[in-house]
Amino acid sequence: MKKVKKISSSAPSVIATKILIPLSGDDVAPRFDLAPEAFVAVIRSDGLLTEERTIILPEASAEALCHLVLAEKVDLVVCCGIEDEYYQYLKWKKVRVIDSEMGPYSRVLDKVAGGTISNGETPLDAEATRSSKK
Amino acid sequence: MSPFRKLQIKGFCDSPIALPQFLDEIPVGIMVFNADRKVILINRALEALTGFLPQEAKGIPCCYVLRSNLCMQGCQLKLIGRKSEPVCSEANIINKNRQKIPVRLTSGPILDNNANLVGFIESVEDMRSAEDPIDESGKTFLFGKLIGRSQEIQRIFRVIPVIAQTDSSVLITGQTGTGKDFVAEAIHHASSRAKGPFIKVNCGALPESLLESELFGHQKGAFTGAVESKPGRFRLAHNGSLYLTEIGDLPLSLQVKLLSFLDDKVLHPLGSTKGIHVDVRVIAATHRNLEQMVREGRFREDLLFRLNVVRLQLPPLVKRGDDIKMLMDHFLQTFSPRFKKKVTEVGEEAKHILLDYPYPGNVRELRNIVEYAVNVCEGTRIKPEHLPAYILEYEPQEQEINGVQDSSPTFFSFRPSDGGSDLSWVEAERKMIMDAMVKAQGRRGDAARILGWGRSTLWRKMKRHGLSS
Repeated sequence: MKKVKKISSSAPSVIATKILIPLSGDDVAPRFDLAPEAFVAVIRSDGLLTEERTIILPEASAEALCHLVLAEKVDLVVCCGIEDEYYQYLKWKKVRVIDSEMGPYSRVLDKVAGGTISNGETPLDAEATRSSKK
Repeated sequence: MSPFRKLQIKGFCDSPIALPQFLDEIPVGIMVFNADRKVILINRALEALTGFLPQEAKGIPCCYVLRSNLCMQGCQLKLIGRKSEPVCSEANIINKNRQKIPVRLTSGPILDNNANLVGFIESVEDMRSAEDPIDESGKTFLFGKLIGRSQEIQRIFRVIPVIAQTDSSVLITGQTGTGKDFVAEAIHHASSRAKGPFIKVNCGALPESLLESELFGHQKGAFTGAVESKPGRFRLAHNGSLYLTEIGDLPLSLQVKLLSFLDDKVLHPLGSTKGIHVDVRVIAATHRNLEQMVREGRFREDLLFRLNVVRLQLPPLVKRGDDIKMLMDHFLQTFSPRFKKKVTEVGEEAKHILLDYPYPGNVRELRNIVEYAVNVCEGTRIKPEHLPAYILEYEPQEQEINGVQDSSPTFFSFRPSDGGSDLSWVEAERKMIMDAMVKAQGRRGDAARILGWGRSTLWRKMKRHGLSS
């Protein structure tokens, strides 16, 4: 259940971040290159969520997902396991990547909206995943 | 006390044994999880392989710790029932360091006294050494992830297996982007330690306080926030190799500690009164000039002597001759299908520009340039307009005037010495060309080689100075 409030249109004065999360069901996909679908949304600096949609990928592939990230002009990718090659590529393309995130994507959205999401080097939030994934 | 330490095996020996300690002694990654496939325990070998600490991994679904391709394409645990035999599969995982590692996974059920399924045990075997067969003939153009056929790189290919067979510390030096990481990995995989872990630590990436704990580990309560004991990278690399990249950035205080370890192979974790003996081969690398750092007092001379047992100097790309063309084609073939492009070749004009460029970022820079060009190119042939603007705008003298490191020592030998300070750059360059041409007895190819330029660069400059006939 998402805590982030949805709105239908964005106010131009508010800074917005376009986010992409590779998904496996309702959870962050364990692997960027094998994710069957991706969640794309715009999160405004006031925490509101807009332009939310889920894209089914024709085939699971890191290249296809990188293409999607660039085509959608995504600012932030939040994923779990990602190969360094694609991580560096996205960074080179000025896309911020936060990896080693896990659990339900709604929780990731909360963290992004709350500004508490940080790089994958930080300790993982095991509690959230212990109760989420079966 | 760590909750994992409470896990005991009773009735196996005279007194109960701590299960984690028992599993830590096994050199293959081991993961134990419950019937819901949530991790109960991982051993030290798997910690080294995945980058997850046992306390981080506990309670997390195994797919988030292992990140194997099988987790998403058909978990083999689903095939395991109460009466099943262990299942074995080839797979790959992506660890916290973002490395994709080929592994062999073997999973089996854990049954209670009433033969009920209560969990699973999985072994994770690192298959990197098996996947990189090394041609010992020395005639190959490929060694691990290194590619090349120039004499300079073939010399490296020949020397790696020799170095690998010794157990001495290795110091790899070379400019950024020359492949120091790949050489370190190749040495590990060609050595008798190939089955052991290969742990990489970037000495420049962490602040001093964290780096000490990361390298040497700490005891619980050693400092504020040390709620658990941490083994440290040296212990994780036990029976394997520890690769210290950017060793030139290692703070002086830690240089002393590293020196002490290299002397007696005994670790002293933070807050611990006992030393721990660890069998680790240290491979260090840096792009810095350590001798100069020693003179400046920024690097310990005695540590340099300890590390400098075997030294491998990697050649810059400009000194690798035809390798530039080979690597250009290799990267083209890599990126073209990846970006779903139909680029098949680099046009002659673009090739000339690329061959004349000095590549301060070496192979990494060439790779990025080709990647950019493939991205930008809409046709089948890369043209100059598809290259990054800074390559097209490149003028050699700008780099030299600004004092950016020039890989060609011959350049300095032709720096005007007699009243050079009075010469303008144009005059100095003209004199350099003249000197080189005299030395090469008028042969332009040799003169270009002496100057460290491409033939076309020399031709262009001669034309500019009115020296061409």
